[in-house]
Parts: sequence; structure tokens; C-alpha cells
Amino acid sequence: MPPTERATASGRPLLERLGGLREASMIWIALVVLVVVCALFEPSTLKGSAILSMLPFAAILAIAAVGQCLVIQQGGIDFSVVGSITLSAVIVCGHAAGDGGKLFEAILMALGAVLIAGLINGIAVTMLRITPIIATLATNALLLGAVQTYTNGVPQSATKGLSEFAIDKTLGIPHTVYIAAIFVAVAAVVLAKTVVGRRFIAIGANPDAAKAAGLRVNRYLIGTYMLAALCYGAAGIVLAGYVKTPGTTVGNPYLLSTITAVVVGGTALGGGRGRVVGAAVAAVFLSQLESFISATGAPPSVSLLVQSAAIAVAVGFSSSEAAGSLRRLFAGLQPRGRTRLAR
Amino acid sequence: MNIPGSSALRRILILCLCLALGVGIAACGGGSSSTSGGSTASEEPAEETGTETPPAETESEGESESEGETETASAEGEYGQLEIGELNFDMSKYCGEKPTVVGAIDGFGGNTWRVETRALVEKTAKECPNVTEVKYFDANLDPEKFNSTISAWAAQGVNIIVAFDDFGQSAVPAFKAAQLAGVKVVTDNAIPGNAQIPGDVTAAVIPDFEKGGKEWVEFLNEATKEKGQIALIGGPAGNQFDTPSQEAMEKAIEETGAGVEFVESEPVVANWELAKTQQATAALLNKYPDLNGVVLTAMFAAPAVNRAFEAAGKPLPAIAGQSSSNEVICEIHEKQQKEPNYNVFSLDGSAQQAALALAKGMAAYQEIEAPELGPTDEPTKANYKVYIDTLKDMLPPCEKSLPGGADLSTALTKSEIEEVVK
Repeated sequence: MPPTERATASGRPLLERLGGLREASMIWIALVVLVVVCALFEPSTLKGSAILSMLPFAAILAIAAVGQCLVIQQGGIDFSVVGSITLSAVIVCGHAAGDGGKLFEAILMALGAVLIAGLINGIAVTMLRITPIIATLATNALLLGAVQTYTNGVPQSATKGLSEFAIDKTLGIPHTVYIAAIFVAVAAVVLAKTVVGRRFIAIGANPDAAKAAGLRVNRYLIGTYMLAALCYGAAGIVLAGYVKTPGTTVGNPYLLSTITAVVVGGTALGGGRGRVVGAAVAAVFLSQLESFISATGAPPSVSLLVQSAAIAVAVGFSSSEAAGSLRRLFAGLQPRGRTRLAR
Repeated sequence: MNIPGSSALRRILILCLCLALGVGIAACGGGSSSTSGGSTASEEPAEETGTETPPAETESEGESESEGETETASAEGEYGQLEIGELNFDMSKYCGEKPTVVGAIDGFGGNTWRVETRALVEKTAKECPNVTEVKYFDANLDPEKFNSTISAWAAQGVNIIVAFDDFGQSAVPAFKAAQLAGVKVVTDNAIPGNAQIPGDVTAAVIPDFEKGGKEWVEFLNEATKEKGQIALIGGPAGNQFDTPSQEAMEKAIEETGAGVEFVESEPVVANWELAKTQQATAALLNKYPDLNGVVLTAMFAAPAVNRAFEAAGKPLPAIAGQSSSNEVICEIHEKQQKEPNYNVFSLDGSAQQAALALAKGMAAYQEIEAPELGPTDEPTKANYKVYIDTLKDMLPPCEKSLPGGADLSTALTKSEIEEVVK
């Protein structure tokens, strides 16, 4: 929050309080509002069976969104999420070819392949100074080409072990949720509690200052794209297990949805501030929203419109100009005596 | 981020990266484009878009290792009880004598069904010794590539184009231009927009929606004991299969007085995707707890439907549809062990439409009268055959050695399928 608009400790104005809320809690509030709306208009979407159907997809989205969040936090954006998810899914199925004994090897191969893609992204963005959107878009095209070449149009099935693991539950909770929780927790703890995490945040906030402070910015950025690729690869493997036979378009839905989850979760598109937990909560929010839209019988185009609107609203809230306009608007609406913005 | 280094260095790095990536992709390629003897194939991997895919997608799920599967078919061509693995016409009658170049083009060729269908077209073309070349192109969901390839083939002297028009009306101008250039354009499976026949295209082979709809209604009526609460779960909004199918079924319900009722007046959009199908089914179940029948215009999604019903703790529904796959068959074997009343009905043999389209194109190009292949002034309605009907104990064996997405109802032998999907 700019110092010019810092309020005094007592009697903070409404907008400032809203500003504070948007920093961390907006997605939680949005989720609660959505649950209330569902309870009022489509209570069937809150049934246990409905939630259990929604959670695995939310979990897979959350894993991928963690990766996207790391990249966006560094001021980038990663369009190779589609290709990475698809490639890891088809490799984990294709290499194991139904042989459970080869599953571990297949997982390593799948993750190795997407890590190379992440490395390419990182090198392209840092050393070659290619804009992230272009670099990752090109890598995505290469990855999809690799998918076509690898599968030759004939996708294979996941091994029985992987499939059963992805579908099964422990203590009534799908395994996919546990995996997502591990990814989110590790990312959140590393970012908040470790030196590496703090440096990572510093680089995202101001790479020039970080460089001047002696941090190896390029190394961190390349590592970011590789870690993101690792998340996409893991999401692809879990997805492959869940759908059993992932096709060559299995990763398509994860481009807009991961970006939406990250932005709605409170991460600024311009980098700096990252909210890994927020992105995961946003993944649940978006999945439940989709269930709600389906239940209302609205056409599928509504889902895309709502996602776009969610991005617009989230960006609007995180934009200082937009927030400033809102503050001025709210300030105008409040009694003069209560507006106590210090200068 | 400014780093020291000249632009020349950057160029060298870019070059090295491209080279490394190219080598890597080539090395990791598990498969490669295949051609039938003497034919050429040109495929361009391209970026995928979110456009419509056909119901014959075989991104099927299921388990090739499923329990309870039956013995695999031992002899070639033993698929199904209706000898569905054979063509019902003799291609050699339409070969003529003029040297012919055939082009087969898919709007999207990235699934097992398309791979097998392409192989069937090539096999059928081989029956004519005067077919000198069979070209193939996968537009990979890019309508511009689709149209430009048709135009290019017309200029290159291709005589017959067999097209799976994934793009509807947008491909018709290209078809029309090719026809004006003397090419015989024939389409299969999908309706080519508002194309005039003959004129814009020489022939169009499409599913017989009315016959299929009637058979689905009869099955669902019996499987649900005349108390069917059903929904059609299909592909993207506005696709060319779902609405005609539901309309045909509604007409059949009205005519026969069947005790089957659609819970939704429109087909449910699920993009022919497994994940979407499961989510759509779960949403339907929440809204209509009595749902007990499902119609799928792409049967490969049946396991996703089953999973949604299982998650809701409900008995599996009766499922009617078309274009099954090996994995669907394996799953039926597995599920029936736990739920003997689980019933499925599938119309198959859709790949044969492409072979029939080729025969019609060949007859037209060679100027051979072939009324037995269907009309020449309107779409030819393909006769799908009943391939799975568990109420009548019709269920092909689960093929452990083949991929889950394999279409066992195609007019290819087992060894031919194994060859094209390996």
C-alpha cells in the first residue's frame, strides 16, 4: 500500500480494509460466497458425491497452478503448461506400456522430459532475453510436436497401479488431494521460511535490485521455470492415472485455468507478490464454480466468460490504479470525517 | 535483465537450442508416420487448438489389465458377432483403369480411431493396382491447413480426396474449388456443412441418425424396464452429431411410445473429453438423482460415466452409443462381474464409412455406375451395425495385446491393427 494513503491505526477507512483483505483473503471470501450461492441456488453441488467428483480435478489444477504461480511471481508467464502436462501424461503411459514394473522409470522419464522443457524456457527467457510469452509459447508448440511424434496418434493406457492410486481415497479423501496438498505446502513453506524462498521473492519483486545485491538472478529464474515444469509434469502424471488413457489434447484445459487460478488466488500478474496457497484455493473455487455453472444448465460458454471475468476482477483488485480509483470512489461515498488518509 | 553478450552469441545459442531440441524430439519419438506401400504420407505436428473433435475420438479409458476379461480372439478378423470386420462391397469392381492418386485428409488425426481409419483407406486403395499413390495429411485441428492442403492437392494432380471434415461449413469452399479442378471429393462420418451433392462434393457418407436413434431407444427402453430417465452426453456445443442424435431419439420415443424420457431437452456438452464427461455426469446426477440411462455419441467416454455413478453410490446406468473401443469392452467385462445388470449397447463399424467414401469417389472418377454404393445426389447413410448389446449377450472379447483406444470393429485384421497401433 502506498505510504501516501496509509491510514492511521484507528478507524481505518473501508477501502483500506478492503485493500488489506484483497492481499490475502479475497479468494477465501470468494469461496465462502460461492458456497453460500451454491447452497441457495444449487444445493446439489455441495453433496458429498458432488464434492468428491470435483476435488480430483481441483487438485490436479492446483498442482499445475503452483508451477504457474512460481513463474508469474517472477514476472513471467508460462504457456508451455499445456504441452508439459500432455507430454508427461503420454510418456508415463507410453513408456510403462501397462507394465507396473516400469512405472517408476516412466515417471522419471516423464519428469525428465518436462524438466528439459523448463530448462529451455529458462534459458530462452534469461540468457536469450526472449519475452516469456513468446518463449513458452514456442516451447509449447515443440512439446506438442513431441507428443505427436511420441504417440504417433495412438495414446497408451496408464498402468493399473497408477490408475488405481489416482482414483482411490484414503480416509475418504482422494489421493490426488494429498498430492496437491504436498506440493502446495512445500512451495508455501520454502517460499516463506527459507533463505532460498526469501531470495526468490526478492528477485520477483525487483530483479535489478536483487542483482545489485549480489543474487544470481538468472540462476533463480531458470530454476523457476524448471520447478514449474516439474509441477506440470506431476500434474500430467496424476491426470494420466485419473483418466487412464490420456489423449493428445489432455492438457488443453490447463492454460487459461492455471493462469486464472494464480491471478484469482492473489498473485500479481506483474510479479513480486506470490500466493501459492491462494492459487490452490482458487483452483477449488474455479472447479466448484464450474460444477455450479453445469448444475444451472447454463451453456459451457458461460464457464469461459466467468473465468475471464474472474481474471478481470482479480487484476482490477490488484492493480494499483484500479484500486486507487476504487479508493477514491469509496472515499467519496464515506462521511468526510471518517476519511483519514494521511499524507 | 541485461546480461553481457553480443547478439551473435545469442543467435548461436538459439541455433544450438533449436538443434538440440530437434534431435531430442527425433530421438524420443516412439512412433513415426507410416505409409502403405508406395504411398506417401505428410504430417505436420502443429499446435493444438480448442476446436471441435469428432465423436470417433478414441482417447478412451479403461484397463487393458482389467480383471474378468475374456480370452482374446485368436484368429484374424474375429471381431464381433456380425462379421463387422469386413467391408460389404468389393472394391475391385470400382478400380477402373485410369491411374489414380488418392489423398486422405483428417481435420484431426491424433487418435487411435483415425490411425486405424487411415490404414483402412490405404488398405482399400491398395486393392486397385492403378492407384499409384495415397497421400495423407493430418490438419491437427487447423482449418486453414485443412483447406490449403486440399487446394494444394488439387493443384498437384490428386484425383480423389477422402476427407473427414471436422470443420463443417468452413471447408466447403475448398471442397468446391477442388471439385471444379476435377478432383472427386468425398467425405465420411461428418456432415460437410451445407455442401451440395453432387457439386460441392461428389459424395458424403454420414451416420444414419434415425436408425441409430431408434435402436438406442429400443435398447434403453428394455434396459431400464420402460422407466428410463436418460441424457445424451456428447461433444462440443453445436457439433454435428449430438443434436441430430437426440432429435432422432425423441422422434423414436414419440413414435414407439417408449417409456424413456430425456431429462435435458438439449444434449449435454462434454467436449468428448473424459474429464468433462465425468464432471457433466456428476452434475446431472446431482440434479436428476433418478438418471438411469446415458447416451454417448463417443462410447470411449463410458468409463467416465461409470466413475461418476460409482462416486455417487448409484448403480451403473444403461449406456447406449456409438464408436466403442477396446477399453470400453474390457471395462464392460470387468463391471459386469460386479453388476450383472450393467447393460451397454453400441453401434460400430464407423471406420468403414471412409472405405465406402473412397469406393464412391473411385467409381465416380472412373465413371463406373455404382448404385449399390448408395445415392449420388444426397448423403449416403451408413449402416452402423450392432457391435455390443449386453441384453443379447453380444460382447466382443477384451484384447489385452492391443491399446485401449483400438477400434476392434474396423475392417482390419488383428495383425493389421497391431501393425498400425504399435
